[in-house]
Amino acid sequence: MNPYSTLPDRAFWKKAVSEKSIFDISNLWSPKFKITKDSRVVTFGSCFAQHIGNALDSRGFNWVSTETPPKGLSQENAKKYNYNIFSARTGNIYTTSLLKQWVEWATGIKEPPEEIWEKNGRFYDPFRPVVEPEGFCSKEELMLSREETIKAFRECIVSSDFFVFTLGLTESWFNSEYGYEYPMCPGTSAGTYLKGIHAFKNQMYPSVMNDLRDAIEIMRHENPELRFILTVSPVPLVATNSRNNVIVATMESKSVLRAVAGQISRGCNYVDYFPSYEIINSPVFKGVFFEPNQRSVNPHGVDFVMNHFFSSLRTKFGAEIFGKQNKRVGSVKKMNDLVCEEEIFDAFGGKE
Amino acid sequence: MKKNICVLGNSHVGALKRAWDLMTEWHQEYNLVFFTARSNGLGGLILIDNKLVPKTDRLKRTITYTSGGKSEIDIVEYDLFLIYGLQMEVFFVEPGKFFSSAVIKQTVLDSVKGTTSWKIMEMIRSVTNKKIYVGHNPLPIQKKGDDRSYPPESYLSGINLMNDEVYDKCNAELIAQPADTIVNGCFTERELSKGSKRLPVGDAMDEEAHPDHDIRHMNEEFGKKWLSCFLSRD
Repeated sequence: MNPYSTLPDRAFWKKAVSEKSIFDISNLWSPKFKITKDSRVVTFGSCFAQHIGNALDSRGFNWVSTETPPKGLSQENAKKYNYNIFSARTGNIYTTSLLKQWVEWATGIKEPPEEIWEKNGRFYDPFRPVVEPEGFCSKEELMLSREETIKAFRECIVSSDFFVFTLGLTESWFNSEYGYEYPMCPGTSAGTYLKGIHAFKNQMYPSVMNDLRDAIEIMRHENPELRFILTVSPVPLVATNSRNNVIVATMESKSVLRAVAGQISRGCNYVDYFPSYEIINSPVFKGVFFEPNQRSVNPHGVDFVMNHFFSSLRTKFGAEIFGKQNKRVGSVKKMNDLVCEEEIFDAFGGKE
Repeated sequence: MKKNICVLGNSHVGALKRAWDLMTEWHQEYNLVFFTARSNGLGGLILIDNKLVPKTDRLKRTITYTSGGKSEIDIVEYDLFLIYGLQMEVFFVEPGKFFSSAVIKQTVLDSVKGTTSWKIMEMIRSVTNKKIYVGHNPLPIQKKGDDRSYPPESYLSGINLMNDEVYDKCNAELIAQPADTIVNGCFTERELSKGSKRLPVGDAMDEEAHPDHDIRHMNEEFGKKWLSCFLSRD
């Protein structure tokens, strides 16, 4: 008798992997929380977070958007203007420090900066550079829109049951003078890159960890019932400014993010980790869920991940959490339907 | 010489038609011809040689009945056009919400251009430059428990915006519902829905009342107010 002798099949490579088709591999996640169709769930983070929101919504779960488009705006144009991509119109929140920044603005701990970018008479929000594709018509309009999003983000914090956050990047850009962070390098999607002002930082484990922990604790202070589900985006970096090869930079970045997510979820009973990253990226799955570019995740991969999410809930809590099945089941959007701001980096590639 | 007005629409025209039957003698300078079908039936009209022609026999029978004998709409016969209902909803910005001007403009375009009302307007406009008036679906009756109340200017600013962004550019005009029919800024006065009946199209349902829970269809009193307001513009 030893500790291994009583472990379930999923703990052994032979039983969990070797003897199975990759499509039959299961039990990768044992959910901590019972999410029901009544649970209010919000999603933020990097591009991959959109899949979770889409999947929840299409299966009739209560995915919440607190910043909805005006009645009459077509679905296509709502997407163009970044409505219902995440639960508020924040755009991608790639880093844990950026999440903390949004949380601090939403809770009044800090005031959002007054920086605005102007180009050809249109105005761009440095913290949501692509939410209005043609920019805002005035500074006042931009500031009012930003206030609306901050208000909506706060509503997500105080009125939700579950906050799903997908960690995406460690590489980040800051204003070295005032210390605030941009979601994109200035000068890529909008703005002008200013050497000496705009500083690159490839965040390491301690800062990623501290910022995520701080963000969670601030949100829990506002809403003590709020619980978190963390995921790590399986999508490799589009580009790296780390001076490493992009493959090496990707592995380092994802490893840091994965370690932080693991550490926090193990240490907090109100934080869980869902292994979408492993399902797509583990060598066990042989990269079959990637598109030929080996970066974008194929819709079948997304389905596989999200089916695992829901089947794990069913296994743990029973089918009753699903109630009546929604007719829209399975309508997960294609990866290329996602709004991924970092794709802009592709436009700067191939200079070697 | 009477002015020929071509009225095209759906079930919402029922209130106008019943009202017109009661008020014709006071407006003898006008000749209103109604081409109507329930629901989205007029989506089955196509443009052939300056005429709007029904694609199906069923629609042909319906408009022949509602117009008093015309099986197609010869656009050049009319002095002006009124397109009423047909999915056309008025645009509101919910109080307390903020949207950029670009989003609002796009919403106005989207909310107009997907409708049968717009499709018909485009077909008429491709033949003639005569004035086209557009009437939106009546504002609904306020449901019990719905405590929304919009400032009065919300409605009119929505109308103005739709005219500025869409209709002015094609010599058309979206007409506001009469002010005395509106309550709490975005609803129709409850009394103006009581006893509303289905659009008469020559079938067994013609005299049927709309169900009690119907909050979208109005009665002939509403029709009188709407038409009086409309005709007084001319």
